[in-house]
Amino acid sequence: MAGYNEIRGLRVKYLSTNPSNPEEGEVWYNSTLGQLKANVLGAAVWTSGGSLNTKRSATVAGTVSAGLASFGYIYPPSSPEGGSNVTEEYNGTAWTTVNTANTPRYQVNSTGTQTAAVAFGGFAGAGSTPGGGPYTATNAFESYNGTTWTNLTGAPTAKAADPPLTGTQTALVQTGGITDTSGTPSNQTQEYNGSWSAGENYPASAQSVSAAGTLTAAVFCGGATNAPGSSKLDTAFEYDGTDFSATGSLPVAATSLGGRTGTQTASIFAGGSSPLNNTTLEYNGSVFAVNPASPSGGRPAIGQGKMSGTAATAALVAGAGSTPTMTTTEEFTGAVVEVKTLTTG
Amino acid sequence: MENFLYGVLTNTGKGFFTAEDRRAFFLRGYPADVWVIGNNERGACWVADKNGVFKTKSEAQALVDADVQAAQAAWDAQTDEEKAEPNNTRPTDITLP
Repeated sequence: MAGYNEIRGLRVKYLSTNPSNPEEGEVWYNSTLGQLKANVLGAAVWTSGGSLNTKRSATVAGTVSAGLASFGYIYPPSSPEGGSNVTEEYNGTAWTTVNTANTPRYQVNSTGTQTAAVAFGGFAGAGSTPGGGPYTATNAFESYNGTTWTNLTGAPTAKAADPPLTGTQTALVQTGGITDTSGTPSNQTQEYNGSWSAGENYPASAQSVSAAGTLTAAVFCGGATNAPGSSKLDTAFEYDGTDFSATGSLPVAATSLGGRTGTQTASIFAGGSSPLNNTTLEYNGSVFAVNPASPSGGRPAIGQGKMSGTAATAALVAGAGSTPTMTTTEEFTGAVVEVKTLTTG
Repeated sequence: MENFLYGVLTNTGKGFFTAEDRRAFFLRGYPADVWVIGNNERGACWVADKNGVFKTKSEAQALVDADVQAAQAAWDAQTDEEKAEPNNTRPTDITLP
């Protein structure tokens, strides 16, 4: 069997303290402790975060240490029932209620940071019945600057059902979604970079598609080709700002997989429809693989529009949909290099 | 020895379950604040530390069933128009592991 010297081209170091700059695979003998140690890649993990103040199916933007939850449907016995404009900010520990948005709505999607976010679409109600309905898909598009929400020019096409989108406050791509309360899913794509323009049609007419990345380097996956969400897709496509191209498929067909958690070449997707409720998927630019870390669940699906992060190593989900509506938050921490003791004595 | 413990615990937010907890024992949440916990010393201590109440599997399943059935009844009471709203599917039964 090859020794460490042959494998690494190095001898095992003899050190009085552990190395200050961890490098995966590094092995050394700690003479102070009398232990052989190594830097190994630890496991990714989901942990609990602070709970939302208002129980609802909010959309989430921002990061684990600076998150933004907005909009969502408030179900009885919480009140007032219906589409909400409640906004909360997360500091890595707790959620704080801040200024409300302009148009109460639900099944909205958002992207960006806590101080530069936008929220698009959803179902907005006329407020004439209990729960605020009847509801129709809206093209409402609002920006948040860390303090207040401002109405921007609405998108060309109204979309709801957590209309898939990814990017930043000033450059995003939105595709698919549903254009009315009973309608069939759309394949229409719209881009925003200060003004709205049309993009190439998505290869499938679908809703609850999940997305990550930027306007010019995005990945979309899963979704459903009918309104109830039962006709699921396992397909995924990359977008370069001009064209969609097929990439590796999901392990199983699924909807509402979260997203907006990294780049086109390194992102994670979690939760979603059965059987992936408690599954974390990693995308590396070509293949989707299951990460062993499992969200604790307790919700029907973590889902599209409820997940955010800047990288595949740190993501945030909060709230949940209709059954049951939840306030809980979970935080994802990707695998990091950590010290492991190999022998003692 | 059974693979899982069953308990009722209220998620108190940050720190309710930590990275160390997740690495030490299986943990999964269900409706009605029911949690399924890996049956080892760390898992049992976690329930006790969080002031949880241990349940038998059948007791835990009954709590989940009651919660799901209430949600199903609420869904059934919706109008046909409401039931047809996108992604508004009837809550499905849950079987604890």
